[in-house]
Order: sequence, then C-alpha cells, then structure tokens
Amino acid sequence: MTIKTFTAVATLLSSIVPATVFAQDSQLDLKFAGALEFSEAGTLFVGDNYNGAIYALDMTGGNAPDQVKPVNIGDIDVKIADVLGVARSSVAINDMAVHPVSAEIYVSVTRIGNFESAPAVMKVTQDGSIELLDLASVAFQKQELNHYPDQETTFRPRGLGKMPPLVRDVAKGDIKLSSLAIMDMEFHDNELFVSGVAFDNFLSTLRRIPYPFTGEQSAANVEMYHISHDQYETRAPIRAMSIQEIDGKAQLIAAYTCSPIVAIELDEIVDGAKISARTLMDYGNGQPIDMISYSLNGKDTLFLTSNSRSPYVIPVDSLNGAKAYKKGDLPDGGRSDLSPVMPVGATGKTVMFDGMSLHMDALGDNFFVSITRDMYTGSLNMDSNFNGFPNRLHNLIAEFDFPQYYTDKAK
Amino acid sequence: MAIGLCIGHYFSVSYAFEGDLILPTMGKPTIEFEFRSDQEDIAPADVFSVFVGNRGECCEGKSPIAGRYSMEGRTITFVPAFDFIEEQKYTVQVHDTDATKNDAQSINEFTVERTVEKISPEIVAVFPSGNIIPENTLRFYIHFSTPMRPHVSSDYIKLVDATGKADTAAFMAFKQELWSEDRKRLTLLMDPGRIKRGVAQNIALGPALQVGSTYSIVVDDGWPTANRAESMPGYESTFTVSKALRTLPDPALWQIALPRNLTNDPLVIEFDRPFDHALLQSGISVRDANGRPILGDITIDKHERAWRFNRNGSWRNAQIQIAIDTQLEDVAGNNFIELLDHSVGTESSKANQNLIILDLKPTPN
Repeated sequence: MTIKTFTAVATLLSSIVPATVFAQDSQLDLKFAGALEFSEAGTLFVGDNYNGAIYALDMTGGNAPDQVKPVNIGDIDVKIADVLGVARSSVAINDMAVHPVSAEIYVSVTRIGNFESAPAVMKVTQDGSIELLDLASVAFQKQELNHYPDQETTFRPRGLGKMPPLVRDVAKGDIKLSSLAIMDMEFHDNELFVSGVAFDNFLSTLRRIPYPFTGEQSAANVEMYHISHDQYETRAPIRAMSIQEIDGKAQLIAAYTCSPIVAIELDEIVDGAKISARTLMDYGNGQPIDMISYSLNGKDTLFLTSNSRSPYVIPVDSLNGAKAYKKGDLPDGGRSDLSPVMPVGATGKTVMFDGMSLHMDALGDNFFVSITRDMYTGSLNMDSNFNGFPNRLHNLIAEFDFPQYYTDKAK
Repeated sequence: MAIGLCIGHYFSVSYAFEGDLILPTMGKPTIEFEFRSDQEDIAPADVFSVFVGNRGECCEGKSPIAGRYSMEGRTITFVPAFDFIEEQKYTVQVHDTDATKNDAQSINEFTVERTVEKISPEIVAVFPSGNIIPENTLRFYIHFSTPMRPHVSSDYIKLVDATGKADTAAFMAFKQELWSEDRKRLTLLMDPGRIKRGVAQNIALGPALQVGSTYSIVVDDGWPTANRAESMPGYESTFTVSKALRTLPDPALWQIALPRNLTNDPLVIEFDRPFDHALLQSGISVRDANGRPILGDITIDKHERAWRFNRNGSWRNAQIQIAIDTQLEDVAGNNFIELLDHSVGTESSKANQNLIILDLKPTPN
C-alpha cells in the first residue's frame, strides 16, 4: 500500500529533531487552533483555548527561499474552504504567522462541520499553494496552562451609555472568558510569553514558559493605568505584544483595548507576582490585533493594527525614557478620542491601510502579509506589500489613474 | 463519525483510467476507484481529485479537498481529511493521463444527504385543545412539526364561523409574529379589544367568539416551511364556545391527588378550568419542606385541566410544597392577581405567590 499525504514535508522534517523534545508516542489532541507564534528556528506554537494548552509543533528544518516572494491570494477564505471541503461560511480564520525560515504562511482555522467543529492549520507556500497540515504526522510537545479559566463564565453584555444593548451586544453574553485565555504569544530567548485571561484572582495574566517545555510555568497578574478610562485595570487582557530593548533592558511592550501601550520589564514576570505595568502612551480608542516588530529604514519599529483604527507605527527608540502615566497625572475622568488630552504620550504615527487587516505578520525583511477584508466587496484577501507602504491601490482613484496624466506628462 | 445516508452510484468511465468509481455510501465516507490500466508507477493523487461545488463550478483554479490516497492493487481509496458535509455538492474529477487524449476527463457530482430524517410539515397540536372553550379565550398556540416561514401567518390562518365566514379581525396583528425560538410554535392572540367589554372594538365588532356558536381555526394549504423546501397541507380544528371565565382562579377549587411517600406515584392536580398551555410548563413547581426544588417531568392533559408531575426518583418527603406563580393564567388570561377584563376600581389580590403545603401519605406498608 502506498500513501500520499499532503504533508510529507512535515513528516520528513520531524525526524531530524532530537527525540527527547517531541512526544512521538501520544496523539495530538488539539481541539482549537487559535493564536500562532514561531520560534526563530521554526517551532510553531499553537494556542488551544478549549484544552487550555499550548502545543509546540515541529516545523523546523525548512529551507529558506533564495528570495522571499510576496504572496497574493484573492478570496483566501474560499480557497481554504475548498481544501477543507466546505463552503466559505463554514471556515473561521483565527490567526496567521509566517515561518521565519521558509517564509511559508501558516493560518489557524476552525472548520465548522455538520455536528462539530474541527481545528485545522493551513500552510500557504511561497508559490501560493494552500495545503492542510497533517496534524497526525507532526511531532509535538504540549504544555497545559495552570490557573486556566473555566469553560462556563461568560462576558456581561452592555449597551452604549443609555442606549439599550442590541441583539449583537447581547450575544457577548454567550462568549466565554476562556476564549481570551490565550490572546498573544511571543517567543524570546528560549521562553514563550503568553498573554490572556486566567482565573484564581489573576484575570489579565502574563505567563512565562521555558521552551522546550519542562512543565515549569509562571503566571503573573498585570495591573495597568488605563489612560482613556482613567482607572487601574486588572481584568482585560493584553491583546498584542512584542519584546524590545527599552532603556537598556528587555521589556515587553503591550497593547490593550482602547488603546494604552504599556511596558513591563521581563524580570518582573515571576510566578504569583502582581505586576504594575508602566503606561507609556494611549493612542486612542479601538482594539489592537497584531503588533509586528520590523526594521524600517534601519530602525527597530513596531507596526500595530487595530479593528477600528488605521495602523500605528512606533519607532522603538522613541519609547526610551518615556514618562509612565499614573492616575492623577491628567485631569480626572474618562476621555475618548476627542478629548483635548488625547492622544497621550504619542510617539508614533498613524498610517494608511486600505480595508481592515484581520491578521498581519512580517514576511521576510521587506514585506507584510495581511489577511485583509476589502471595504467595498467584503472579500477576504491575502495580500503582501512592502512594509514601508503596506497597501493595495485597487480601491483608490487618484490623479495617477487618469490616462491623460501620462499623455500630458509625456508632452 | 459515520457520514450516514449517502447516495452511492457506480460510474463506468471509459478513458485512460477506465474503471468503477464508488462514491461515499452509508457509513463509508470514502471514494474508491477501481481502474483498469497497464501503466506502472501510478501516483494515486494523479488519478482523481475531489472538489467542493457542483460540476459547473469545477475545477479550473480550485484546490482539491485535502485527504489521504492509498492504493491496493488497482483500487485507489481517498479518505477526506474531514468528513463530507451533508447536502454540500462535491465533484470528483478523474484525470486522464493519456497524453493523446488530454482533454478527456470524467467529472462526477455527488451530494451527501442529510442524516436526519426529513419531517413533513404539519400541525401537531393546537391549544386550547378542548372542543369547548370559553368565550373570552385569549390565546391559541399552533404547534408545527418543523420550523415554519414567518411573517405570512395571516395569509394562511383564519377564524371561520359555522357558516364558513372568516373573521379577519379576530387575531391581533403585530409587526412581529409571536414565534417560539425554534419557530415551531406560533402564538395567536385574540384581539383583547374584542374581549374586553365596553372598549371600542368590542362595541363596534362584538366579541369574536359568541357563546353557543361553533368556530374553526382554518389553516389553508401551501404555507412554506422555514427552509422553503416543503409546504403544509390544509388543517382545520373546530370548537364550540362556552360562557366566559370571569372569576379569579383559586387553588382551593383544585383536586390534588397526592403521591404516597417512598413511591414513584405522580402528583396530579385537576383544575376547575383550563389553563394556558405554555404558562403551565413553568407556572407550578414542587419543593421539599425547606423550599428546595424537586425535579421531575411535567405532563399536561385533560385539555389543560390537569397537571401531572413525575418526580425524578421516588418521593422521600414527609411534606411537600406546591408553589403556584401568581402570573400563571387560565385560557382567558386571568391570573391569580386580577382578571384580564375587570371593572374599574376592582381590588386586585396582593399575593405574589400561592404556596400550598401538603403532607404526603405514609409509606404503603
């Protein structure tokens, strides 16, 4: 009997990794493929909010392409659905991460079936083909998370001011807190940092897990002063984060909803600690999605996407010596975008982005790859663009789109 | 998981890969292709591919469904990475690797049928279920076997008198119809203006139901189901009208058959009048002597005049409490606090709960 699988590469590569790291004997029991993060060598961390665990999948050992090519796929959701054997509406895209060596793009999805949903990890190759990762043949390690939230507690719905909640606001009452248990992951110096919601008086939590997994893990509660809400907050989790050197120390730069940027020294993240994060800025209302670390004109830079704002670009060195805001530093009371004091401590700039990026990551040194919702058609497209101007132009009509511009210029 | 009921056909294709294609069948979510070829070194995935969508959409520029191919002898088996989705169209494309006939391909469409049995739409119950109902009956509940299309009920449902004349103003017309969450139960509210004595509609049109007369709720055939796949046959339910219920319900008038302790006897309450079928599902609860709820199943019979409670397990209580929600209504919308149609200035009851405390009979032996 001969067997062809779509994932022969993954199967093959796993054999070159030391057998001690990856469990080959047990079955991968992944129930949900959520947050994704790669180590420098290509281990893929997958957050599973249902099992309350992080899986390290061995994707190491791939070959780097001679040159990283941009990958552009229209209707990426339809094309993923095709491979999974379902209609577009039966696919939910959860996260995306680019393999640091092979420049292949990994997308975590949920395939919604007749009776149950199944996790899937898709691989988009440099030549734009879409493959299903054969999870059964991947070597892996699993780390269960402690203080994991129960699967029952849900959010409390609210209206807006005096306006009663809409049906879609009430639906928040069906969302479990545990769905935010693994929000973002950051691999740094043989450790995995995980933000999210935990229980037992933790709620907003930063976890620190050595990798390869040893079973050891730390969980610390994070408190921060939220400038626009004018209060200290300990529940809402860090949405996106990156580890950078600020003021000569390794610090975790983290973004929250509505939208403080805080700094936490890595040394502060110890098990059981209650961390007081330093709030360096608040660039305005909205919910951050991804924070990408890249080099722009030779300088370390952060690119921060949001579900409600244009991306925000922050030069890392501008955070050196930044003031940490506390309650009382600014006039009392909550403040939204239109308040005269907002934005606070802003060091970066807003940049154009056509459409809404659901997920974005760096693709090689020069590109960002984004799964973008088109404003006008609603289509979901995978686009790669130069990171200095990460846009397509199909929805813009400017001077340059007139044929006369060129004929007149040629005169 | 088995994919259940499938349509399975045998196809004979006479191309370079000539053979029999076996599409998914009951409990066998795989595709098999037994081919006749003298070719050596055949890669199974090159022989056929499976795509989402119908034949017309296939297969230019589409990625095939992920799965595993295996080959034994001259039979190639494809196991999809995930089960096929019911009622989704799929297409199998058998490739022709014979270079001289490179346009020849066999394309076969298949659908995995739903495992759940199709339920024909029909009315399974109408409440009040008795064939004699009071003149001031407030609500009718129409229970369907399957979810129905909303916003068209007034096109199909009519109240018809004995001469066949339809009363188009009998039921309240709302912007929003009163459907249950699963859209299998429609509540028809009699226009309260026709019931309440002395208000404009009552004076102008008179009550919709007159004592001693016979009426029918008629549902015309053709009402589509929620998924538009089928439509209902016609339906008619006839009843005679008795005099109006104009007294507050009173538990003192009820007959209560008590279970014996340490048995599985049901607790049965017979009412002096029919109650609202929907509100009866939750309006009466049973508790132990300390007020903790006792769980069990409720059955309503005798045309909503009897309530039967079968507790989980056997009774282990010397004393029980029966709590009656004062918002529980009889078929005429009268609850334990006030009548739906009472004179101005009538004193209403202040109770917010009726609690009946009863001692259970001792063990039979």
